Amino acid sequence: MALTAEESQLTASLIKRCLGGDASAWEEIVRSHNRRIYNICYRFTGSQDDAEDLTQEVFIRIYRTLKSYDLERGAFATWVTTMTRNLLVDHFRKSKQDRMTDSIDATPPGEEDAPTLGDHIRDEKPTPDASVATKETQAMVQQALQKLSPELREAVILRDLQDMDYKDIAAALRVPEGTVKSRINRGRTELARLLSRTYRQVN
Amino acid sequence: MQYPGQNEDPNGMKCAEFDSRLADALDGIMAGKELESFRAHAAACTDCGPLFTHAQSGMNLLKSLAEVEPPANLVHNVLAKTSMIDPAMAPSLAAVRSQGSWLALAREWAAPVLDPVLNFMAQPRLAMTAAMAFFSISLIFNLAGLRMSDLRNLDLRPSAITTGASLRYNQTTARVVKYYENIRFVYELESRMKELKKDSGTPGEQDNNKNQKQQQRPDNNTSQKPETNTNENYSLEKAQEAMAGLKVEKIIEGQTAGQLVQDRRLS
Repeated sequence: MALTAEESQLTASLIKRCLGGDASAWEEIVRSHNRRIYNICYRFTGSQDDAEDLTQEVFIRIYRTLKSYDLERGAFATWVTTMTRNLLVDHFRKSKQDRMTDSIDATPPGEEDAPTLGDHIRDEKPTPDASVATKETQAMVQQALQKLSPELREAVILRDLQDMDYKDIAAALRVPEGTVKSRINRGRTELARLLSRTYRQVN
Repeated sequence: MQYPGQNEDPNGMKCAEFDSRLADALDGIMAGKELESFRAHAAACTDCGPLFTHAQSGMNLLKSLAEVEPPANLVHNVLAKTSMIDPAMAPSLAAVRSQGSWLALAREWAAPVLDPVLNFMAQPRLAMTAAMAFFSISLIFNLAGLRMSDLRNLDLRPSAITTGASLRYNQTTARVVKYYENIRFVYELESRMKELKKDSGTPGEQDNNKNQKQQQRPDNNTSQKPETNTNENYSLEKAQEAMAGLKVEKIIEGQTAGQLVQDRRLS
């Protein structure tokens, strides 16, 4: 996440061109950030459709407020992450009741024949190694991730999936670095406990 | 959720310190002697040991999640959506406010009232109601023979509306006048026919008609009489008069009978 001076200069000129009405500059911004925003949205919501809609919404918001971005105050990527995170929190509040009805033993959407989390853990070690994660394991971890509170979820997504450092996460979430570390710890621990608890219940 | 206590191991690390450094240790920020001391505490402490294991496995699970591929048309869709926003309007709201356009001012003024209503209307549970309303309205339009294409072709310019309205008015008045003329013609024709019939009718027939009418009159009169009579019979006053008449007759009869007896005795 840490950008070199050259990279930040490049971003600054892109933004300048974009504000000047250069459509190709805006396209470049979209192309360079869409993958990251989509991944954050997908891991947070667990839905491809929601992730697509939210990514579009994030870019619309960025486009509208691009003038307000101040290069001196932080990296563009951190600013984009803050926008994404704010939108995700809004979305989370709106879809709270839907989330409450989710079940950890439910089949992942779009994979009706896939085994449930319980089925999966029965065949796996409670703490499978990162290198041997199958598609099914990923689906189960994604489901467990949905069970975390939004504060813990966003912290672990930004740290372990987006590989952001504590400082940038603290800037994006607008909380102290100590709080970020604490949330990362709790998020990781909670996730492992959720999966192992389900594994024990199934057995 | 377990929270570490204040246990201190032989290496001098407290559980609170362990908790605050846990992320650093797992993320590779901690190294050397410090890391060794950390691992030693994790192995010795009953609270911090499981915490470390869980946090580590949680991290491994999260890192096992691969990056997902965004939909192929995502960039295209984003560009299409943002291209619909006028670049001049991009930093929109502040600019609109500074311009002070009447629409923005009205929206701002009505926001405290309108926003809760619009938010309420935007709820998903009302979406089905709205869909049903739209469906029924479109059904009614279809049944009435109104097509959406007709509406699209409607010219809504003020001049077009006025000319259309005057055209309709003239057409309607013309239709009414024509209808009235038709009816007048029919009546005229009927009255002419009657007159013709009267003129062509024979005088003998007219006399017969008169006689028939005269004959009918007394019948009518006589038919009224019994009705009045019967009504009189049922009236209370007439009944009393009749009763009184009967008594007088009886008295007279009695007198005449007594006189007859006396006359016979005298004779």
